[in-house]
Amino acid sequence: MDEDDAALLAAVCEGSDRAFNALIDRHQQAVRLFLRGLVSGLEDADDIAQETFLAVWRHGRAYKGRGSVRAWMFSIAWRKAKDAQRLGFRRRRREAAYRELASGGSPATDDAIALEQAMATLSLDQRAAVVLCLGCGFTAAEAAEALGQPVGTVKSHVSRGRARLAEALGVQS
Amino acid sequence: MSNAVDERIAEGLMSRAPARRDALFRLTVLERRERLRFRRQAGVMVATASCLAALLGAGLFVRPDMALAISAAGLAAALSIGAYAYRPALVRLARPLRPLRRFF
Repeated sequence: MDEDDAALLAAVCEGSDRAFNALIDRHQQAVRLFLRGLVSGLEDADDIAQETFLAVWRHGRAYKGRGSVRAWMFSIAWRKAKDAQRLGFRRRRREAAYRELASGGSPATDDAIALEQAMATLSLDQRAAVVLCLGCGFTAAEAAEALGQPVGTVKSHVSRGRARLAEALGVQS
Repeated sequence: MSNAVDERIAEGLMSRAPARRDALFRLTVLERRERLRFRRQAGVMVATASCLAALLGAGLFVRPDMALAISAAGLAAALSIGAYAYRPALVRLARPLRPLRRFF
């Protein structure tokens, strides 16, 4: 898939709309899931996701072929999420996000509510590592590349995050 | 055990995921991209027109006896810039004339 991504990105740099559409379709779910784990508020997360894809379109030539296109894309999303947090880009407090989730009621939603509460107690770095590795299927190496952190740090974040989330779910990790 | 926990965590995280294909999101990104393109093009046009106007003004100030020539040059430059900016539209307009190429 990464070879396809590199070919798509090269086509985007040449001005191909079809390639840009394909790139968005391929990665929008994972990017938005990642940002929803970092930023409180679905609209804020989606807004940052849109900015991320715009940055990919504008700065596609900045990808030098080191690492995967996916990791490079997520590194852009990560930087934008951190900038948004620094600017105090919180339109919804965590309690509002909890209420949003609580409007469901199925067992899966109960797990999601517990996870959401537990995620809120993690640091931003830990949340990012957990969502990438446990939610988006990244390897620790790829997550480290996306977050600009050492692999050991990412593994440590995932381990602590997993323990906290498992405790919230009432299971032993 | 750890795999079962990870699966449960993944399932909980994925419950917040958007749809795998979301045309509305893609269209919103494209719309923002077009707005960005328009702002850039408009900025370039305004800057170019301002430079052209300044040059013409300076020319007329320095050589008022050549007002006609300077104005003609200014008009030609403005038309060239306009043709460059709107070339996709001009190409579409010229398409019906393609069959006439065989006469040249």
